[in-house]
Amino acid sequence: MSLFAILKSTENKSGHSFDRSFDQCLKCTACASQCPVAAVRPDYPGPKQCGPDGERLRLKSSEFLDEALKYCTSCKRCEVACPSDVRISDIIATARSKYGNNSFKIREFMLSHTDLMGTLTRGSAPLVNKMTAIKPVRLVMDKALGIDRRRTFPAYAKTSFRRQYQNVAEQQAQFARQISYFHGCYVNYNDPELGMDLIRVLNAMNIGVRLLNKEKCCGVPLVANGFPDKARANARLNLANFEQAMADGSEGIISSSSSCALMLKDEYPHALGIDNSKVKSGINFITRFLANEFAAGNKPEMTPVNLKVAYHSPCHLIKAGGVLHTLNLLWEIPGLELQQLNSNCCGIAGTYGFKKENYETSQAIGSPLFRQIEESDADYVVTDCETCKMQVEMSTSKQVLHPLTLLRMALV
Amino acid sequence: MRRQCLVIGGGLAGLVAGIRCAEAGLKVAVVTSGESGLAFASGAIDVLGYMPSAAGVHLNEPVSRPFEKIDELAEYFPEHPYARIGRDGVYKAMDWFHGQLAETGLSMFTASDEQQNQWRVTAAGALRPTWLSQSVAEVLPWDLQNVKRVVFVNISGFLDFLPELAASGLKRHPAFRNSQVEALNIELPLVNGMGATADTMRAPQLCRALGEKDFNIIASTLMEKVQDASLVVMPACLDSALDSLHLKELRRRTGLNIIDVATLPPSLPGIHMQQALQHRFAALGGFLIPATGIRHGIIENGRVFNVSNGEDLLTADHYILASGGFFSKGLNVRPDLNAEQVFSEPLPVKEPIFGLDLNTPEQFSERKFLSRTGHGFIRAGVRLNRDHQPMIAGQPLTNLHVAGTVLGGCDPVQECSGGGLSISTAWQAAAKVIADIEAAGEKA
Repeated sequence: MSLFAILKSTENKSGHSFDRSFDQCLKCTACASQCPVAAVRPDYPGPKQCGPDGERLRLKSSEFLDEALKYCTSCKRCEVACPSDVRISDIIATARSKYGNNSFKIREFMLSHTDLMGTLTRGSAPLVNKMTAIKPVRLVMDKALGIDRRRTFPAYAKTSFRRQYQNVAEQQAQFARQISYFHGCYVNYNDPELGMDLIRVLNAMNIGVRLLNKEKCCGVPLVANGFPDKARANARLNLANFEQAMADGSEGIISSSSSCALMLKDEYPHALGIDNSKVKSGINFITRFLANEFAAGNKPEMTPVNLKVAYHSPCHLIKAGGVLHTLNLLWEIPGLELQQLNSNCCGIAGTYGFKKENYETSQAIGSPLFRQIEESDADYVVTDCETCKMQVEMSTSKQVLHPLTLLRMALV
Repeated sequence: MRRQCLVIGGGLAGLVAGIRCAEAGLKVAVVTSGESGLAFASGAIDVLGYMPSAAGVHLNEPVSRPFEKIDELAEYFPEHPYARIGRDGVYKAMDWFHGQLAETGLSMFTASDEQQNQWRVTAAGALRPTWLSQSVAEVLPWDLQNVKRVVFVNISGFLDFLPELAASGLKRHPAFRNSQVEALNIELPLVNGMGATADTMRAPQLCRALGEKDFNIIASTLMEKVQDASLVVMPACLDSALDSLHLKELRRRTGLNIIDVATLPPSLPGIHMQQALQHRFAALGGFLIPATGIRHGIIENGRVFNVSNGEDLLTADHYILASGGFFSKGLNVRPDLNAEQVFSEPLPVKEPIFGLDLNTPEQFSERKFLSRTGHGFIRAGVRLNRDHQPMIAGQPLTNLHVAGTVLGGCDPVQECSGGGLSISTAWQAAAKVIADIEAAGEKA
């Protein structure tokens, strides 16, 4: 048997029940040097111990489950560092839901069911926004739910993106080229304007934007908060709608959230055991789609923006290999002075930083980034991720733009 | 948008090449995949510690003046990367690198005579000749005379530094036969450790766990127990910033010659150097593209047209290949071979991105793991022609330049030359790119 086959055969023993990628761990500790949590929490044993090392023990007995696993943010920097493709972060996430305390927790439910919470605020967004900004309400949320009172809540939009889209739907259908947009919970309920920016940019490139018949949360917060079954149900619904969209003549599916895109394209198969191979090649994070269009000559007419911006790369975009595309795109914007910030996690990690017990960790992780942003003379910070945006805007004096918004500002 | 130069690999060589290009005002990006070897490195920079063995001659004498030895080395080993760069080139590259680090706030020191090597102490208690050391210069006299007492001091329970092992290692060195070499463990409360104990921590976490009270205990214990030590060696876990403030303060308070040495990985001095270089590159306007492994190159008319990560094409005018050695996958032993073939001839090493021609030493490996002649596979790597160009089946590539561990013809392990080789070859590759771009500009 060839060496390669021997190595592969270990990998293939995985079956469907559990991930045996931990067998590939060389114990080199490359992951440990990149873990943002271990860097600020001496009581977090780090990705090697919590992931591949711990998994060997947990397979013997769930007694070996280390409480410290809850501190993992699923940023996946360990997986990027790993020379042997061990899915360290997935091993930790799976161990938490498989061996951990699975009793129902209201806070985890509220934070992770982003689409449900968005729906509930429909019609009452201004009131909800005012409420979550009031000190006594925050204190109650802090005491009763464990959602840290120092955290700024994302504001809900008055009118959802889907509803706003109805005003432009007819006009979108006019374009010969059609693409389907997975807007996600954040654009729909919190930032419809970003969705409208996407439409303006794509229209300027002669591409019409469609919505999916139906979409649900991609599953990232559900997996992080211990609702894998719900995430699987959502994944099945999303994939069925993607397939339908492709059958209806759409060129592909685009997402403007780096974390949603990572989940939809790269992680459904191994994080949830759901096969997305039929549509995988059609799913793209928006900057990859645009950078490829630009390279093929389909570039909108742009005028110099005359701005200095500092670019922060989100952890999940790094994991997806997407920094290449966002930089490719930003390099094309005329009159843009671009500074690449040091590669540091901002600390929010989706819903992680909202939890009371994680607040200090979250801010400690982000502090080198916040310091660098404050020291920079940039007009704006640019990043691809909505929760990075929330975190940076809460923790620094700068406003944060999505690359799409910057591109829209450059349109003639 | 097209870059003028694309550097493949974000380790020491890749970052150095990127910094030099950015300093010259080029539009440059460095693409990396995974973690760089710097996170495992000592944080010191070796230039040439031992002469490589030639034709059965094993030279065990440490090199005291590395730059001067390069002429001699070039005579014996014309294929060695140092032979191509020459003594003056290597010195210029190293001096430039020293200056670049100074810009970042990371202090590195030569011996008082900057042409001279100094000793680096390893976590196993071995001594290695090095050129630049982090935080403290010349910890031991070059002749190793009059070193009466050396104490390896650990924080009790910390597993990535083994003072007993280090002490027994140093004791084996002939110069320390009559010296007192010992181990000391200090119990600490770890005031910022959030209740965790040292045995679950890596060096960066232990560093975070240490507080003022811990430093007070370290200082008072050292003064009480090892006041007459010529050298105190501690694991590099004292400082999380580039300025080594805690180490300096400890030296001042105790009056002792204290040094900190890289632990088992992750190594803080190595991480500090990595961060310093990344920050310098960004400050000069360079871009670092993470998690983008380059899989293959598209060659047209003796030029690299573009490279691909398997999904997307990346395009530049010039390319610098700094993809590293076996561990970084810059070189591989073909995985389709079976176990017997791996240990047979001819050497089945491959450069996987372009399939470049390689230096292939006759013998893949020696029977003895710690053989003084070194292993053949370590000397395997990209072969260059007389014009310093890499080749595919003998045909040169004109816009591809090669730097760092992926180059063949040298044995950085045996020579203690890894840092200097990466830096000087990257410096030279970048210089070639800059010159070519200037020449093309003049023509246009």
